[in-house]
Amino acid sequence: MFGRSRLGGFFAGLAGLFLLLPLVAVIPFSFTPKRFLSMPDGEYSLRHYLAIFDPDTWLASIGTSTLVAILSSVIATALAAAFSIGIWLRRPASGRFLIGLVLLPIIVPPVTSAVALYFLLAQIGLLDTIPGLVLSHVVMIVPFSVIAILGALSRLDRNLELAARNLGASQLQSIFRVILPNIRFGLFAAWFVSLVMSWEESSVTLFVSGVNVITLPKRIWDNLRLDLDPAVAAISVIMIVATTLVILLRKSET
Amino acid sequence: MQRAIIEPNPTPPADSKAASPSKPGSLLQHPNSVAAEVRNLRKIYNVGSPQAHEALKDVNLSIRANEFFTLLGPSGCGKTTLLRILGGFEMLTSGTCRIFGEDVSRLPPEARPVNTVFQQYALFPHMTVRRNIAFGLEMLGKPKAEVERTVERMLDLVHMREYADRRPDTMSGGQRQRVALARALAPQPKLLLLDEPLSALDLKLRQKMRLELKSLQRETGITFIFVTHDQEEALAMSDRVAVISNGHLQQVGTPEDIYEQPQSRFVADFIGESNLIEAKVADSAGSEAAFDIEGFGQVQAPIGQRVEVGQQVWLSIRPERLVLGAVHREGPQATVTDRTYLGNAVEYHLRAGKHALTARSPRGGLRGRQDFAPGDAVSLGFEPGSIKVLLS
Repeated sequence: MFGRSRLGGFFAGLAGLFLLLPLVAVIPFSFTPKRFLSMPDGEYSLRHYLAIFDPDTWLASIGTSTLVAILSSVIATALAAAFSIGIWLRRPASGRFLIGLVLLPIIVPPVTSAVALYFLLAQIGLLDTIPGLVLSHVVMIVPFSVIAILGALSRLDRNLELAARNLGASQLQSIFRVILPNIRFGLFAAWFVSLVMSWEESSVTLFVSGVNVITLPKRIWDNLRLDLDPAVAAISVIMIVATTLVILLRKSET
Repeated sequence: MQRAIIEPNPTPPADSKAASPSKPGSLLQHPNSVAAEVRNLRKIYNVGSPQAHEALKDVNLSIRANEFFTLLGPSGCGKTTLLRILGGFEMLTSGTCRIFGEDVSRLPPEARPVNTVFQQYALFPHMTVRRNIAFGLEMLGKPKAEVERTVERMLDLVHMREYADRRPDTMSGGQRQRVALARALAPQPKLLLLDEPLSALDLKLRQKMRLELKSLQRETGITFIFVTHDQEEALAMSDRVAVISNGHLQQVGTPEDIYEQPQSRFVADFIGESNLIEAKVADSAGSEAAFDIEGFGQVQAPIGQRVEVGQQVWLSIRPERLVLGAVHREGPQATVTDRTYLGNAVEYHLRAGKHALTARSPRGGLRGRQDFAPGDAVSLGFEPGSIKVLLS
């Protein structure tokens, strides 16, 4: 409607400001010298940034989150690749149904998944353990990987697989030497999305862990509810800066 | 597109192709042996479902070794299905399919001594030309030195040496075509399947590639099975042609046979142009018969098969074998309705009674050939042996 008019640019800027303002507001809070979340009044301090490096609390959680995110994103990508390539190759009559089934965790409210996973992990004794958390995250993030990889496969020429088979490659050889190399960008996208999804997963995490295993989102959550520790603001600033850097780097590449 | 049903391979797949008892190696195939043979072949897609579709109906075909064989027909006639069955990309519904005597009906594609040049080439985009050509040899487990030697030979064969380290997406259609050929020929298949490989090229390049393909076939001695809907291509390149329509094999023969001796209305009409005229048998004696054409008169033509007096048949005459003359004698006559100058020929559209005919005369009006204008009355003459009698 506004096209390239100046008015359109103005409204787009307004919308951007509306989305970004709360993020920017957190920055001054992180520099407060006080023990609690407050606006600094003239004095600034980096003490809350130092607190992040406390090996017993924040640093431990960053480590846990990193480990869980790497494990679950790699497992999720591998599972999603196997599932998607299988569907793409065989095109079973039940393909739509199977894809729907895998995508369920996106459709079902997270709390429902969380309760289901809670009871499952309680049964098999993996509640509040790293393997249990990884399992839960994999269930929650596999759908996003599947979407990314199916998208990449849909752009792949089917004849490539036939050509490989025709030249004497077995099914497995054609997958590893022809199909996978040609969807490598899709695989990378799937892995990266999974990594981020796992890193910030909180709803299921809150149900299935929290005493022995505390991820970063869980610790932030606890702090916001109980302490109002300005370290939360410091962590947020670091994440905002990291995200901005990634976006800027990607822009300068293209 | 149909789903390719690929049977699980009972033997370790990487070895099965290399270990197959009669795997390539020698290009010297027995000249009179049968390269590929299908018997009572039927293919039904979606068996048992409401969309069931019979793509091939009881096809029997025998392709000789070292032959350039073409499957020709309009799109949807089943020619590509037949090629895909030979390649193992589709499973046949019933019948048998043999390649050099070996029943391959149930073998997966990688276990067949067959390579394919795909319509859109299907080159591996993540590999250089050299790696593309080496792929088949590597899959056969050939030693490294042999792979390199063969790749170099193939690069020379298709004149692509300077592009050896480029990737397919940086090359033109003709260049990709050559790489696809080299890739398919490198493992020295017993049979090379070509699925309309020229259709993506422009006219000039297509004509050039025709000659190259033909000479490649002669040089390598590999049996080529070529699929096309372009009859000109089929006539120009093939040793023999099979005309397919609607899942049926219509006629198999040399290009001359197919063009000069069509056996059905479909073939007469699909290959080149034909005047098809409905007629009734008036009299039949030995190898000659007389035919009544309504509003036209009677003509004589040789017959290959028995016909009954009164039987309904079709007569086929090629436009270039219809001779026009001034009206000065008895016999069939027509009126010119249109004249089209074609450069090397002149085409006349004629009306004779209820029949519309086309005649083509080389350099009309020159070298003693009389030229005619629309509205002129002409007499029709037929070159001896030019009328084909078709029962179906």
